[in-house]
Amino acid sequence: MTVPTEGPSDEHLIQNALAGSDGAFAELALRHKHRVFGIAARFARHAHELDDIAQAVFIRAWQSLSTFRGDAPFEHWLSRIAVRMCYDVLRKTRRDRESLSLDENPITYETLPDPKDDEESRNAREILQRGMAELSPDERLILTLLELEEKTVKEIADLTGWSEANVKVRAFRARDALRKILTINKDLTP
Amino acid sequence: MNSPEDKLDQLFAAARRAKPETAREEFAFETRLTARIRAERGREIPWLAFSWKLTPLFACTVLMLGAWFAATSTTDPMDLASALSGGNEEAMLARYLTTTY
Repeated sequence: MTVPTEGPSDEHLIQNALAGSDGAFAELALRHKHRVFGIAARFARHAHELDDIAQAVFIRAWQSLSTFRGDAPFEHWLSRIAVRMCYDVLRKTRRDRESLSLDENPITYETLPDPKDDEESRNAREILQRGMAELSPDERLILTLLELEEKTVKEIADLTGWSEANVKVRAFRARDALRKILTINKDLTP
Repeated sequence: MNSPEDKLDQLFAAARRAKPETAREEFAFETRLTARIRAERGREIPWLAFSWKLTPLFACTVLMLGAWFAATSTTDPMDLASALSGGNEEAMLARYLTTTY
């Protein structure tokens, strides 16, 4: 979904937001929230967490708006913040899960309600979520961006701050790890 | 014949078709965000932000005080270190030997 950008440009809104206009920043959020929600939805476990991540991304953007140099579109800058925020959430989730015993409330990955899902897609997503929940945060991040969001290696390098060679190596290892997990779980048997 | 790699590709392809639908969560997001930003702004401590602006003033004051001390301090002739560094060690020795305590 592309939000029409009629009216003042992003740069103009940024200047106004820096001057203290909450309305200008709200307009920026309105324009770019769909992209942020799209990224965060791949990592959030439920609707509340999705909203929390999206808010945290925009709060971080608001706090560091003065560092936005304008050499890339605002949307790209915001996406970078969103990806790094999601990575932090994955790491925190992992730590929390490690600190819980198996008998305590285990974290399960819920799917966001989507009436347009067909049966096969839903099943595939559930299998992947189960498998990817066992991966490390960076493996999960890279597979989500590469395989589900269909980002290129260069785009992932830009979003994560890792080198392209590093992204390729991590992607190869992550895919290998996921394949092994799914094979053990018998999720790859025909 | 489906290899595990092919099967994995098929899983990713099927999962890609299901784009996350977030319209409900996006509803009125700007309003919630603006309220949160106002709350965050209210939590800021004004004097803390102001004190950072005074950093150059503090730095200048320290430099000026340092320069003033350096310009006005006098070396003690009885101080051994300053006597040696000034090449007055012989005068110092003579004074030491001739002074009665």
